[in-house]
Amino acid sequence: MSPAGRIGFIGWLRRRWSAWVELTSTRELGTTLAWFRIAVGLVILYSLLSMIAADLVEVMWVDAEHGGLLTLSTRHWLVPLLGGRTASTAWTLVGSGLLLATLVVLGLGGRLVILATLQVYYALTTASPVLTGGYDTMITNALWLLLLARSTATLSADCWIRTRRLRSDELVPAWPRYLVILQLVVIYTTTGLHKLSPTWTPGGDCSALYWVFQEPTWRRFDMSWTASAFPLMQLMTAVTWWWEVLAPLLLLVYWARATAERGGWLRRVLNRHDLRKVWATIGVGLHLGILVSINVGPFSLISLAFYLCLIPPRAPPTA
Amino acid sequence: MRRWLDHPAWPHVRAILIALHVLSLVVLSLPTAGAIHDRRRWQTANARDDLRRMAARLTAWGLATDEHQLEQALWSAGDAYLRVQRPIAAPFQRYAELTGSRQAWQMFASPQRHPAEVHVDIELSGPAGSQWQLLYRPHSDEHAWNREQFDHNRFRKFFGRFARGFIRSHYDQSARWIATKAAREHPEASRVRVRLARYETLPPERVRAGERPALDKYEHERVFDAEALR
Repeated sequence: MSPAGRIGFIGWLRRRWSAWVELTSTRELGTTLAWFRIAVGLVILYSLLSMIAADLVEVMWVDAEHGGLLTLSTRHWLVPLLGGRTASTAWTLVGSGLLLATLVVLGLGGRLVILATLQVYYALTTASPVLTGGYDTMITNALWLLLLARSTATLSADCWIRTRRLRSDELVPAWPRYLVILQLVVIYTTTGLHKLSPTWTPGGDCSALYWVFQEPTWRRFDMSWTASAFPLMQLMTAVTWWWEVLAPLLLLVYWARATAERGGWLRRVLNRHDLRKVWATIGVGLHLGILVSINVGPFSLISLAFYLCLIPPRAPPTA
Repeated sequence: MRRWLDHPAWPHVRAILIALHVLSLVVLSLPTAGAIHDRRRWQTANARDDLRRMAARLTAWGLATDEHQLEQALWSAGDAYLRVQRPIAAPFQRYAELTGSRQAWQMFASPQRHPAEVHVDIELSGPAGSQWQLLYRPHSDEHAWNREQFDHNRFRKFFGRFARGFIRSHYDQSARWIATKAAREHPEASRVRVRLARYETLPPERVRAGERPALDKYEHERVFDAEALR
């Protein structure tokens, strides 16, 4: 590279770095992150209560040696501390999880409560990789991002204690919300790229969703009617696959909106319609469809909680 | 703490830490050995069917191959990919493990066309001899013993794994647990049987013609003496 080229490259790097620092320094009202916190807390409550309702706490979170289903892992630091995978450990974790998740919903205790909730939920769900779901990982990811965020700045008991009001116009860092959106994009992209079966990919018969709906593991009720609606299943399969693998384009849409003043044909095309809404509408439709037709626990609920972060908070009031 | 956050270098430090998180997110979401290099999964009826279909498609596109050649090529490509992926992912594993921000997303990657259902029976003795009575099978209102537990999504998913990559120790432990519960709740039973009913999901045209899957092929039968379990 010539000296002039090197200087030009270093200048370009500096501008990119400044833009990154500026992006990660953005502040906004904490409303969206507060709603995300409340939704995540409610999903954790649902996840734990469903285990109690089905009488599964001592089946799935207690080791076979103590009457449970399988031999379980004790690799999470809390488990040996509480005496191993026994019934009393399981109930201590579930009881604490319920209490902590309630506090997360109420927004009491700030980051400390969120950290404790993460540790308790993680301790329960690391029992065995064959007894967990993708939604457990989504929940622990959400809790980690909430720990990094100032999610109790508003709509929280913390806010009420601080200001004697439930709402606050205090500005909080926006980057945790951006990371939630990125997490959503990564989930869809990678799950799309894992779908290499000829039943999903272009050039095949796009039959994947038909087979999913017949599987006894997932379907809630008899879905044999989908055989009569096979072209619709093919269309839904194609839409799902393309929507997932093209999810990174959402980041391009955000970029085009953030830099709209720079002009150019690509920005003009991308900004002609609010493509974020189109993307979110397909996603919400997909998750509502999953919620109704197949039983994947709180997967759709935690996914929809992530969608809340697509809604930007209103602009902060001017001083 | 406040003073430290007000330091002019803090926005840069924070930007670096966020960039590392983003990097971790992307690197750890790449397919792992468990997702692409598990011999057990490659031997399932579903995976063999996928390989056959892929080979047929490639052949139709002018790249003549068969199921076995394609399997060998994909396995070697997986080997090469993992030689790169493993060292890149290693530094981020610890961070993800500590923070719960693991990234393994492969939902419905290859929909099951050869499902397996867990069926539970008890043996009853009568004047006419002994006979098996079906206690549980999924989605049956007639044979719905212990449904409130087996219908929970965690149990459903666990049972579904037996069709995707059979792990004997998990099956044996769960079969024993199920049999123990059945024996205790049915004092009249002399034996308990747990087995997997394996079938082929019917393509749409056969369902439209009125056919239903035949559940007559059983695998991994485990029979327990009920008295010994009580």
